[in-house]
This record gives sequence, structure tokens and C-alpha cells, in this order.
Amino acid sequence: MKKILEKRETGVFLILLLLCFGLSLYSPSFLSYTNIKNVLVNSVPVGIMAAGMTIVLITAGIDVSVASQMMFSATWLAIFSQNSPIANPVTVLILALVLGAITGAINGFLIAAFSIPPIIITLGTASIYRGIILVYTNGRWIMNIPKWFTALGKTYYNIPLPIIYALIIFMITAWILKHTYFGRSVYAVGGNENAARYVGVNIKKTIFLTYFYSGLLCGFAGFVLDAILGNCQPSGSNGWEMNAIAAAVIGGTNILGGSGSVIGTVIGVAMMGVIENGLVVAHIPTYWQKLVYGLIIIATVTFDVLRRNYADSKKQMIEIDQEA
Amino acid sequence: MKKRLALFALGAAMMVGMGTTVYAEEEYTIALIPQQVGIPYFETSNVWGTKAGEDLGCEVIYTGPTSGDAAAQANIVQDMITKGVDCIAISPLDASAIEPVLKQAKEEGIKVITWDSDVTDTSLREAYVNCCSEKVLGEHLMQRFAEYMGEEGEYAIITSVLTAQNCSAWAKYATEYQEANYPNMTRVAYEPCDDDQSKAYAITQNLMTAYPELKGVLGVTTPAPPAAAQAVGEAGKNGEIVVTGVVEASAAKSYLEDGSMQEANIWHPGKLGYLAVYTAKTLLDGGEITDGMDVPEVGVVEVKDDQIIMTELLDITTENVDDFDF
Amino acid sequence: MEKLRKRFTLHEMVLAGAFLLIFLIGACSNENFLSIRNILSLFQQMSEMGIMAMGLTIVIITGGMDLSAGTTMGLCAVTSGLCLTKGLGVVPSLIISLGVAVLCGAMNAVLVAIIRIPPMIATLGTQMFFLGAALVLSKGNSISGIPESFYFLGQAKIFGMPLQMLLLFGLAIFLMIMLRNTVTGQHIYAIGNNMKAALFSGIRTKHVLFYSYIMCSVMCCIAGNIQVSRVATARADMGSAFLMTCISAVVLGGTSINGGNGGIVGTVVGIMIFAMIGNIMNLVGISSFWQQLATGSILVLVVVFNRMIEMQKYKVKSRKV
Repeated sequence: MKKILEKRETGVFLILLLLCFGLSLYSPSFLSYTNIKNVLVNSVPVGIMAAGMTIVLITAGIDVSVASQMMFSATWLAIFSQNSPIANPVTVLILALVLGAITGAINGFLIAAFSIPPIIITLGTASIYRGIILVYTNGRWIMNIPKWFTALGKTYYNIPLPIIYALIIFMITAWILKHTYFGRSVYAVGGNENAARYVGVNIKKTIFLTYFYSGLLCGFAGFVLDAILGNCQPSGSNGWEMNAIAAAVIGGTNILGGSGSVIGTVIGVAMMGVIENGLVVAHIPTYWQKLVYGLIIIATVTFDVLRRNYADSKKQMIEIDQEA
Repeated sequence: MKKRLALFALGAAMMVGMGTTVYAEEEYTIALIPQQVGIPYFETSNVWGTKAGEDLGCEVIYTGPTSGDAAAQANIVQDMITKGVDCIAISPLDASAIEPVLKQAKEEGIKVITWDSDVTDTSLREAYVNCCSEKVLGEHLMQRFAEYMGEEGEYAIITSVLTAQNCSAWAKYATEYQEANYPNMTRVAYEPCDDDQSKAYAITQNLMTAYPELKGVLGVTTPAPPAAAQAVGEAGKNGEIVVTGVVEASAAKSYLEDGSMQEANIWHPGKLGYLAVYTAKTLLDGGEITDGMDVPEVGVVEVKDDQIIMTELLDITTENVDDFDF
Repeated sequence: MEKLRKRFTLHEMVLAGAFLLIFLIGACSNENFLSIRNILSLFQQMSEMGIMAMGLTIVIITGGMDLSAGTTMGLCAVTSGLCLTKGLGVVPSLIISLGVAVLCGAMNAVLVAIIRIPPMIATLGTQMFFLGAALVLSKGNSISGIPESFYFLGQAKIFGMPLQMLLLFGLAIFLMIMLRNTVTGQHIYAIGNNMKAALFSGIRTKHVLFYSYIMCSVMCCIAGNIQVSRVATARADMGSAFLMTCISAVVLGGTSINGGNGGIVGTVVGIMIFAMIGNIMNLVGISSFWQQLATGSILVLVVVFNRMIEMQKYKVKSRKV
């Protein structure tokens, strides 16, 4: 029990609960089924990207191309679903994963093979993927996605399908991190790359797989986005990569690598959705949102770092004591 | 020696490149600049505007910023000036940010007209091609909206960016009309969606939560009404929450049919684009557009001072939505 | 050829090659490209990005990052705009705007140097915070009615050259001298190379970091004011679109993202390359969407190409497979 209380994620979870409690006092409609459903469903695409981002951050890397990869997948899916005779839920899903795999593999290959800092490669590929879909569509929005596609994003028996998708992704990601060799290598590479190498971890392969997986998830996120919205705006979802990073970091993932968890990211995603919704419910004009977001990120990370520094200095004190 | 030859050849090639002027026919080049490329409303104007160019024998260059960035639009205008176009027809994102470059255009002798949305300093442009006067449109929007609302209840207006002159004007006139004529209606929110459909969707959802008594949403920019209708439909409130606004027939169709949107009030964006190019060509030829003139493909236009007004304002409901090709 | 190899690094040669290539393409594609008018308007448009990129260069050399550069520019722009439209004169408005920039830079520095939050995430937070502040101050509106007395910054010409172009070159020279010839400059490189070693050799790392982040914010403030003056309007979102392009330009120009090397010249060349691409596309009539594709592709191509040659040269794979 004490262990759970000491965990970083618990702190964030408590803050989240406090927020929800406060908001529901202010406005009873906050806790209504419709509102909670809306908050959660709208957070699903970012949540899926954040899950992939968690793994990337744990390896001490970063991927700022996730939003572009998601829109890349979403755009081609929308076009495919409208124009192809073989389009149906299964083929669309397969296409989503294939597209994500391609974009993720390109990132992974460039980063792993050439040892170029991930921020640079992903910065470049973000523009490339976005540029490709914009050039092809001329920025035109793709409207009227077929009904069988949007049916995959609706609610049945009061349970929204997108939430199910998100839960599956989170569970798979958590399982990978905890129970596979790949998952452990991810922590190793992020924690101490040299040590990992000496222990025999295949660094290049691990890094490649990390971005590959992130890409897969982005492809799937594109699928979910199309299903939820029913149309596709190739120039949309700008800046969502920052939301994914913020969600993971608020949830406790260390941006320098080495630690992080899916549970934390889930809480982070929920927190960001609640804040956005909460501001509107509290009748605060939307332009205050960014200010609040920024403050929360700064506060959360400051708290995190101070706690870590304090824990580190405590360890040192113990050493000195022993020597004396 | 080799190096010298190479440099010389390079220099010569550059000189030749510079010296060769393209001797095209004496056709005018008109830059048709929208607020943002990619939005279906402007894409339709593009298609019809280009057609106008073909019909009239001018070259129409359609280019614009890829996001709601007023400074980027100014850069594009500057490059068009450098390119030496004969006329700039622009729908400005920001009524005052664009003025310095339009001044430059004027100094270079390039004709400037505005369409769809205007600038603050009207001396900088020779004509403003409009769908109808802003007051008329704003009031008409509110009249139709209020009828569905039963002239009472809470409502919200969703606009594009807060600085877009046309949308702000329509919202202003609509609200003023409501305050004067429908005292039982209250406007509870006025939110910008930055012409982003997913933002408009989220805003509507949030409004429904924040104002449980909300009775209607009026969208003055084309991405807003379909997004609002989608949100209303998903909440199961078709008909309970009134959605109307400015949106194209094709985008509105499915929502009109399932009842989540009640009406669309718009003009034909393609015809507006055609009229803009037609006006540009006429002015370049030294002519002018007169009141009551019948412009091919467009119809009869009114002219008030320097505003050229298309007279067809359309009310689209389920009954006539299939009659339109945009 | 041998002489060239000794004087310039590989990256510099590749960069110069890319620059010449784009320049030639521009010259051949449109007769207006080489006109004085176009060159000047090119510089007018790129000055804002250029000045921001130069500020970013300093921070990146220290091994850090400033994602808040774009929104700092917006915040300073809004501050100027508000002051000017409320009737304060040009000089007081500029001073207040500079003050805001110093505060922003200081805030970043406190988070990075004192609390020691990784710069990437610290500036991610401040990026949103500054944008939020700008939006709240301006209520989401754009501020127009900037008095004509302010127009000189973005619209005046001295000896026919745009004022901001001269500012760009002036600041470039100033920063180059600062980085190469002053002790602070040497310290900046040292911190980027190895923070711990710098600390132990007596460098006051905290002071140097404060200096770097504040300098970057001040550059953004200057860029913001130039843009406000050029379009005679102030908006909270000014500069946000520049950020990624500026970072790309810094990296393209040869500054390592891990810090420790690089310089102003490379950055300016990088910005010129990106600006020329945009300009050529507008003149030729290629849709602006190709620009994004081009920007990303050039960045990836140059960086990968450089790396491939490096790896060939040393013939040692940097990581075991």
C-alpha cells in the first residue's frame, strides 16, 4: 500500500480527482454521462499517440512527427474508404496499420542507422509527411466519410467504441513494456545506453522498433480520428504532438529517459482532457486555456524535478554518513 | 583556367536567364488570394474563378496562406507584387494587417480589389465584391435563426478567427438585430473556431455542457454549422437545439436531412469568385460595373458606392438542397 | 580543392553547395528572382525568422533548447501593440516590450539552470504559458491601429535597403563577435560541450545560461516588433509558425543539437535557403503546400548526407550492430 502511495502516478491521480471534484461542485453537468463521454472520446486520438510517445520518451528520444503521421494515415484512409471498391472496415484497418508501419519505420531507420538525434529527424519527417498529404489534397478537406467507417467510432450500449480501442492500445503497450524483452531493453537504453550496450542489448534494433511501434500507433490513431469526426482535414491537428508529449510527461515519464509508465500517461491524457473541458464548463473564455496548460506543465515538471533532486541528495547524505 | 571558364559560363547563363523575358500575349494576370487555401468554400471560388479566367482570357493565379496567418498572407501579396501581376483580388484575413502591402501594390500601379471580406482603409482598393451588404446578411441570418428558435432562448455564435472582418461584421449585425427585435433571446457565447471543424465540434460540445439551457447555435463561418450539427446530433438533440448558419449545400446536406441542422443561408461562393475575376478584368480594361448589370454566369448585380453586390442570397433547407451544385 | 577542404568543414561545404543550388534554380526559374526588388523583399521577409533563429542558435549551442521562442515573439508583439495603441510613445513601448522579453528569458533560465528541468520540457511549458499570456492580454483579438510613428521599424528603407535587413546583419555581426571573441562566448561553447567540465573549471554556468536564454528572448522580441511594424498589427500567434523552421535552419546551418559547436553564419545561410525556397515557389506559382515538403526534405537530406559522409570518413560504425 505504501508503495502505491509513494508512486509518482498516484500524486497526479489525486490531483486529477481533486480537479474533477472541484469542477463538479461548480457545475453539476460536468459529471454527466454525456460530458464525461465527450471528454474521453475526444481524448482518444491524443491518448493513442501518447502511448507510443511514452515508449519513445523512455528511450530518451522524442518524436515530434506523431501528429503528422496520424494525419498522413487519416488522409489516405479517408480517400481510400471513399474511392476504393475493396474498402471495408477490415481493409481500412489493415491500411491504417500498414501506413503507420511505413512512416514509423522510416523514422526508426533514419534515427537508428545514422545515429542522428531524433528531434532533427522527426522534425524533418513531420514536415515531409504533412507536406505530402497537403500537396496531394491541395489542402482540401475530405468530407462525407462512408457511414460504415464512422459506425466504427460510435457508441453502442452506452459504451463508445473509441474508448475500447484506447483501452486495448494501453493494455498492449503496458504489456509490452512490462513483459517483453523489447520492453526491458527500452528502459535499459533510456536509463544508461552504454551500460545497456555492454550488457548485450541491441541498441539499434531497440531504437528502430521504438519508432516503428510509435508509427503503428499513429496509423491507428488516424483510423480512430476519421471514424470519430467523419471527415478529414489534412491541415488539422496541428500541435497535437506537443499534447502527446505533455500528457506523457505530466503522467510521470521522464523526458531524459529511463522511466515512465502507461498508467501515468493515461492519467496525463485524462488530466488534459478534463482541464480543457473544465475551463469551458467553468465559463472561462477559451483563450485562457493555453495559459492554464502551460502553468500546469511547468508546475508538474518542476515538482517532479525537485522531488528527484531531493531524493538524489538524500541518497548522497546516506553515503556520507556511512563513511563517517 | 578551367575554373575561370566555368565561372564565366555560369555568369553568362545567369545573364541569359535574366534577360529572357517571356513574351506572352497581352493577357492580364490576376492574383486571386483567399483567406486560406483548402477550405471547401474557397476551393469552390477557385474553380469558378479559374473558369472566369478562361472565359475572359486572363491568367488567374490562385494562392493563399496555408493557415490563418495574416503575416503569411502579406508575404504572398508581396511576392505577387514582385511577380508583377496586373491585379490583386484578395479576401483579407486581417482587415488592417494587409494594408501596408496593399499600399505597396497601389504604388506599383497594381489594381487592388477585395472580395468576400474587406479592408479597413477602403481607399486602398477600387472595389469590394460582396455577396450582399453585411448588415443585410447579418440581419437575415438572425431572422431565419430566430424563427426556428421561436424567438426565445439562449444561443451561441461561432465565428472563424476573431479578426476576420466579414464574419465579425455578420455576427455583430445579427446580434444587434436580435437585441432590437427578439428581447427574449440571449446570446451566451461568441467563440472563434479558427475555421477548424474539429474545434467547432469541440466548442459546441462544451457549450452544451456549460449551458444546459442552450437552444441554438449560429455559425457564421462555413466549417462551423456542420460541426455544430454533428455535435448536436450525437447528443441526440436534433431539433431541440437549433443549428443554422453559413455553410455550403454539399456540406450541409446530410445534416439537413437528419434534422440536426435546420437551414443554411449562403450565396454561391463560386459565383462570388467568378464575379471577383470578372470585376478585375473589367477594371483592367478601363470599364466599370454598373448597378443592375447582368454579369454572365453570375446574374444581376447591385452597385452601391464601390461595393459590388451579388444579389442572390439562398436559404437552403431539405426541400431545395439538391438544387445546388456547391 | 585541397585548400578548400582545409579551410571549411564538410558541413559548411555541403551547406554552401545547397545554397548555390537553390540560388541557381531561383535564377533560372523566374526572371524576377534576381531583381533588386525581389532580393530586398526576400530579406525583408526573412529578417524576422533570421533574428529569431540567431537567438535560438545561442541557446542550442549551450546544449539547450527554446521551444518558447515563437510564443515569446507573440507576447512581445502583443505587449508592444497594447502599449502603442494606448498612447505610449515608440520608445517606452519598445522598452516595456524588451522588459517582457527579459522576464520570459529569465523564467526559462530559472527553470533550466536553477531548478534544472530539461530545457525541452521546460520551454514546452513556457511556450504554452507565454501564448496563453499573449491571448489573455489581447483577448484573442488582433490589435490594430498601430501609430504610423512605429512603421519605420518594419517598413523604412535606408539607402534603399530595408531597415530590418540592416538590423539582421548588424545583430549577426554583433552575435558573431560575442560568440567568438568574448569570454562569455567561449563559456557558451564550453557549457554545450560538457556542462560538468565547464562547472568544475570555474565557469559560472548559471550566469551564462541566464545570459543565453535572455539573449534569445530579446532576439525574439526584436523580431516580434519588426513584424508588428511591418504588418501594422499585433497578434498573439505571431511567430508560432516560425519556430520549427528556425530550429531546422539552425540545425541545417551546422549547429549540433547537442551543443558545443556551430555558429551564426550557418544559421543565417540556413534561413536564407528556406526563405529562397518559399520565394521561388511564390514567384513560379507552385502552391505553398510544396514548401513544407521541401523544407522537411532538405533538412533530412542534408543531415543524412552529412552523416553518411562522416561515417564513411571515419570507417568506424559509431554503434555496434
